[in-house]
Amino acid sequence: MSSTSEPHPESEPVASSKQTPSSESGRGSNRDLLRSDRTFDFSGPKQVWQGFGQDFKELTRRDRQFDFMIQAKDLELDVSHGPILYLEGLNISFDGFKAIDELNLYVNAGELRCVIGPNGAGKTTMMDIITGKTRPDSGTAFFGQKIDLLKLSEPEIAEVGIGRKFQKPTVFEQHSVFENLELAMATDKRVFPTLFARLSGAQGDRIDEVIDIIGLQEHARFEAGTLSQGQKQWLEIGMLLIQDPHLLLVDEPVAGMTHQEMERTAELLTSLAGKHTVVVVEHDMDFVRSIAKRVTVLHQGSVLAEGSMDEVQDDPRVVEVYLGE
Amino acid sequence: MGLLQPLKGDTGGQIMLAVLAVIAILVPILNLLVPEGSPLHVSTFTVTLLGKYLTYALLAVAVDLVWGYLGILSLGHGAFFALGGYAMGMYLMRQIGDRGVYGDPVLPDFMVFLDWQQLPWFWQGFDQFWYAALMILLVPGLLAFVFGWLAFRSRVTGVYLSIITQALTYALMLAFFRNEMGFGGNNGLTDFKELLGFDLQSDGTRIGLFIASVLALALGYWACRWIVTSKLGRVAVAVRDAESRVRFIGYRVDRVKLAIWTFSAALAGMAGALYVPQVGIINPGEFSPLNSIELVFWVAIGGRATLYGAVIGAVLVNYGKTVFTGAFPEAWLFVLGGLFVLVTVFLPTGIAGLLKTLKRRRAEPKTIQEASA
Ligand SMILES: Nc1ncnc2c1ncn2[C@@H]1O[C@H](COP(=O)(O)OP(=O)(O)OP(=O)(O)O)[C@@H](O)[C@H]1O
Ligand SMILES: [Mg+2]
Repeated sequence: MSSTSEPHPESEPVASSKQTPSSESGRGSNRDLLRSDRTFDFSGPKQVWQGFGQDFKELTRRDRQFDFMIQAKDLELDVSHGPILYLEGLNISFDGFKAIDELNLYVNAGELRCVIGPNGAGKTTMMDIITGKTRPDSGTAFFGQKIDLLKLSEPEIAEVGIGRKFQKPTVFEQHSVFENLELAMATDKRVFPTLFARLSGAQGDRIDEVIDIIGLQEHARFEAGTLSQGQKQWLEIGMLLIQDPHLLLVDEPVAGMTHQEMERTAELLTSLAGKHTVVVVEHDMDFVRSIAKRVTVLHQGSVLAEGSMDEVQDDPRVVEVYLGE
Repeated sequence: MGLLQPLKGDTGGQIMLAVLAVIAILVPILNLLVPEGSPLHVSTFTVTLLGKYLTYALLAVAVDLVWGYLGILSLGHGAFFALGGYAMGMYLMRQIGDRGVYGDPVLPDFMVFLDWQQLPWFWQGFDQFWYAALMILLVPGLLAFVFGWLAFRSRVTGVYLSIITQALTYALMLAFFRNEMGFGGNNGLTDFKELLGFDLQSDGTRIGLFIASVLALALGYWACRWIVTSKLGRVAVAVRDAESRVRFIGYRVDRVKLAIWTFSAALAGMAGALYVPQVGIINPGEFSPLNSIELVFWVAIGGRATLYGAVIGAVLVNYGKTVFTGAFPEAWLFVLGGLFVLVTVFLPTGIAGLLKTLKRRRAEPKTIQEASA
């Protein structure tokens, strides 16, 4: 095996590589977040705990250290060629029904992309594939140049920096808003570190900061189950934000929201773009128009049209399948 | 931080532990120091009965940890309890030495009866208490680990998981019934003489076992509280309420489940190990699927996801069972079933939930008064 790999930089643990203070403050440091030489290190020094539940064989291998370096190297987010998300030739069928059909989609780093399409177009299924919930029958899905999403599990995908808000908001109803965010926060999420975890001052501040962003200050100590639909949506977005993902997948964020709430959500999502890459699936056309620079129209599992909202709206095929109805 | 941290805000648990402390002091005094004729005297029979309830309570706490906080409805925890019991039973059998009916210095009676020439390999080491103590935690823990590893990885959940836990305990029951297995077949292990050199029939030993049960329950309770008040405990509740969501925020749900599940099984094993010397026998009946179902009832009746509710449920139901089976033995299962239906319909949060509501009712007028004052 290779001798080119550097010894593992143990001085740079997970949290710091994902949440450098500089990447949190100010727009100017976007590039820092997306630096191609940044590695996502989840081997860390505490390999013993990582081995919990893993194959005994793997635990006892003498070249284990080396094995990890390969993994970390593979999981480097490389966006030097522009796009942060590459979906190519994806196919998936459920009992013979083609939900995704030769889907190609590229999303650039820092972009705010809206995906629209009629019911059953495959929008949610596409997100399922990106987040590892569903495996496609064929095709490729890459995060940056190097991370093959189809090889990673759901938690691993979350770890490399893809966060998702579901169509149906699912917050932890029995936990307070604060606790929901605490659980979602980007920390060491292995079993034993979690068992012994104590909330640091900085982490508490970060949670309060996110609570401010999503405007739930007054509800911080309330059980999430008591929130309104719109507030749950925000909490979900907050749970995404606090993981500090590179890519946010947001499925129908304004469902169940009042007009005012919608406006606030639009502001929130636009403010996130740049620092993060945001993919929004939404049915509400007014909402899409208010935030979108680039729109992708999905129909029967593949891309029907792509461009600015105006271009897409003028496309006769789009009018036929979607806007015209 | 500190040792009391896990009990903060847990009024029910604090009261429960205080009661435990009181009976741990009072019962030995009333048994050993108060003369037998006195109305205050607690008989050794009662001491042992209480000790037995406490081991059930510990078992119920173990079940509540996985059911109440992790959402895994285990219908097989009786198996872990029984395995811990068998490990203890094997030690007690080896303690008999040459005082058995056949007088063999090494082989337990049932092996001599089966005409076995030597001790099977898995009986080796059980003459040492430390080894048996290790096995009491290790055997149920290991079985739970392997079972959980397979089940949680392949994402078996809900009813299916419950059913396979039932199958697990049923399979073990059938296996332990077989003489060839080397665990005494349907007679199980019994006729124990001593534990660590103490005569099991003596009052002192009975009191010792009772106190050990109190300590085990208190310790087990504290450990479970420590887990559920940790961040891992909050992750567990999140798994219970929205499992796939937890996965998407980056936790390895299967490992979270595996860790807590395994711990719970070891705790159940510890309960079983304390149960056996007090009742004086362990047989395959302890693996009966019905036992595991019954103990879920205890937790439901006491109040799920409170831990102390499990203690209340286990003690009350078993007390009821003792009283009832004395009077009309056939009726017990109907009573239990009826009780379960009543509780699920009228008291979905169990006795603990009822207590909480009563407390709130009492507290509310007070706060209003305070506010207006
Ligand atoms: N796991 C599954 N098994 C079977 N069919 C599925 C599955 N997931 C999705 N489908 C089908 O695939 C098609 C695409 O579904 P998808 O949820 O991706 O649509 P969508 O674009 O998100 O629609 P909506 O706007 O209603 O949310 C639908 O017809 C759906 O019924
Ligand atoms: Mg959808």
